[in-house]
Amino acid sequence: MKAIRYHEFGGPEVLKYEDVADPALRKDQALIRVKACALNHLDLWCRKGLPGVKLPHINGSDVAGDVVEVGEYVTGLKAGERVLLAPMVFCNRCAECTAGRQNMCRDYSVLGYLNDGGNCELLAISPVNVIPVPQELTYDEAASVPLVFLTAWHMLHGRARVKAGEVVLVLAGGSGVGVAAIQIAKLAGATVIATAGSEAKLDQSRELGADFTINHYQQKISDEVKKITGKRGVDIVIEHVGQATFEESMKSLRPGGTLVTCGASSSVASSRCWAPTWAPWANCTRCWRTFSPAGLSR
Amino acid sequence: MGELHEVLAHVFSGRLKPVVDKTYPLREARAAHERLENKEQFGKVVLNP
Repeated sequence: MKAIRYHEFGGPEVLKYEDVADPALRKDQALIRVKACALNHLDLWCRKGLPGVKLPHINGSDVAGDVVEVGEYVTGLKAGERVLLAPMVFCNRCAECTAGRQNMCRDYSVLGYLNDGGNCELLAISPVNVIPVPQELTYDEAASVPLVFLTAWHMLHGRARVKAGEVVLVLAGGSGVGVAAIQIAKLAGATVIATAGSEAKLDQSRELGADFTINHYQQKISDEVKKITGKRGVDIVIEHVGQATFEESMKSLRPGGTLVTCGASSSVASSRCWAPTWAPWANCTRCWRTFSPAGLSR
Repeated sequence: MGELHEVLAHVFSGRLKPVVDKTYPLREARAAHERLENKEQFGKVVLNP
């Protein structure tokens, strides 16, 4: 099969379109023909050399496609079904997995990180990951869902416990997590303030449901938030940018508000230095109810 | 997986909408990476094998 693979870490130029062996289908797996695979920042980080990535490597966490064949032990799935893949890898036996909290499994990983992912034509995977999708969704749309909608859902509901009437600040409304977070917060009945870096993206954020928008290159986020909220600050910040925005995010919170993090796309290193840098300050002010890293993805 | 199925129920019923920014043939993954790296996207950048 054809795949995008890299044999060394580096810039986009290390990505090679090449022939690789078809995956061998185990009796307890389903074989998926990949029709669409969405990109995430994780793909860029892996390509640049994230610890644990083994070379040569095939990226790709968000997959939609067709079931081609199922192994002898697989029931409930049949060839020809349109599906998307749950973007995670886990043991499926431990207490956390069996309770539905696979993200807490000690073997947890994201598809395409420690193992090969979906930037290829065929993928053999456990049937627990294979989820049928309705005909109304295209393959491209289905592939655009799993990682970012799961992450944004976990941040807003799993961690921040968003409630109707709350005000949520979504950084980078045009990002994958951003487009999901705007919609999930609106669905929960919250008021949404989204930031973006261009007028076009601000317009698109409003079309998705954002009530207020801030151009984060031309305006100071915390000043605008104070104007919008009447100096109160927001109840929840969805912070997935990191170093470039973290201070503004903290300043935008109301006392007792909740900041939830994931990703840190402006700097991977910042996700490691936040705790020592920011925790003492946060503790010192005794304002912040929760500092809740959601992890790379859930 | 519990949360994934929760959010998928909303997507499958149309209450939450996936946002596709741009699609590329798989062989053009390099251009797709550059689009994401340069923050040009609104929504998801998708590769088609």
